[in-house]
Amino acid sequence: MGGAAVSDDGWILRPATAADIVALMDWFRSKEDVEIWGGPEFVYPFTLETFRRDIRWERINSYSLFDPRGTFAAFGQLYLRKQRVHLARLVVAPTMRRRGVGKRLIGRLMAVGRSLYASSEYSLFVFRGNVSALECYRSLGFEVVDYPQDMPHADVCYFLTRPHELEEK
Amino acid sequence: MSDTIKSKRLEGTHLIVETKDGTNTYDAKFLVAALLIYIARGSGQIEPEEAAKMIDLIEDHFHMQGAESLELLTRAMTEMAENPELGQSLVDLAPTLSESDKEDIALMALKVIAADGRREVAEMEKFNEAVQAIGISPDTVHRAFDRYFAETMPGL
Repeated sequence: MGGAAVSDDGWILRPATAADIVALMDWFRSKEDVEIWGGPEFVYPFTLETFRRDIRWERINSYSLFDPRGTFAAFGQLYLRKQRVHLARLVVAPTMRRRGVGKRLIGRLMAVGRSLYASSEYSLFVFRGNVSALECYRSLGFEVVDYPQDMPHADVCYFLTRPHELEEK
Repeated sequence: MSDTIKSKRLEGTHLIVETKDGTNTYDAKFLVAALLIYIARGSGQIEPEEAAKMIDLIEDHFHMQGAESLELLTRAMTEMAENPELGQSLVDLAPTLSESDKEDIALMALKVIAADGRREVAEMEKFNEAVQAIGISPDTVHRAFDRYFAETMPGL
C-alpha cells in the first residue's frame, strides 16, 4: 500500500485498513448499490472473501477519508492505468452524501496519485446512470472521452479523463 | 439468505431458520455478533474503530482466531442487511444465554459504543433496545457498567 496519509482542514486521507473494509462493506445493502459502485461482476451478496477479491484489496492502493470528527466519510482506490492515475471504486458513506465529500476525496486522491506516479492525466469510469457522480467529476474538470476499446461495459459506463495541469490554473 | 422467514425453531442451542432460499443455522456467537452490529449501526454507520473492536471482542470472548471472528462479523453484517427480520428472530436464542453471558454481552456492547471515542445517544438507545430484547436485567446491566468503568477508568 503506497502513499502517506494526507491531512488538511481536519480531514484525513490514509491508506485503508482491514477494519475500514469491514465498515465499508456495511455501506452496501443491495445488489444495485454494489453494481453501481463496483461494476456488474461484483458478487452480491458478498462475503469478506469475495468483497476483498472484487476490490482487488491485495493489489490496488486503497484509501479512506475521515472527517474532522473521525467519521469514516469516503473510500477510493488508485493505480496507474495506461500512463494515467486511475481513480476507482470511489464511494461516499451513505450518511455523508450531498456535502461535498466526494470532491474532497477526489482532490486528495489526485494529490496522492501525483506523488506516487509519473503521469500527466487522471482517469476514471462511471456508470451512466450515476448522474450525481458524473456531475461531481465534471465539476472537477473531468471530461467524457472515447471509451477504451479493451474495456467492457462501454454500453453502460463513461470513461473520463482530466489533465493534471488544471490544478495550477 | 435473502427472503422473508418462513419458519424458525430452536433446537438445543441453535436456531434453525427457513426461508424460500433454504435453511440456515444460528447460534449464540452469531447472536452476539449481530447484536454488536445492531448497536454500532445506531449512529448511522459502523466506524472502523468499532469494527476492529467487535472483531477483538468476539475473538477474545469466544476464543476464536482473528480470521474466524472477522468472518463471523461480516457474515452477520451481510445477513442482517439482506434480511432485516433476522435480528428479531435471533432473540429466540436469548434463553440459551446464561446471566454471565448476558453480562459479558452488555460489557462488550459498551466497549463497542465507546470504541470510536464517542458515546452517541443513538447507540445508547440501541443498546437499551438490545438489552431489553434479549432479556438482560437492569441489575446485570449495572454490573456490566461497573465492570466497564473499572476496566476503562480504574482510578475512579
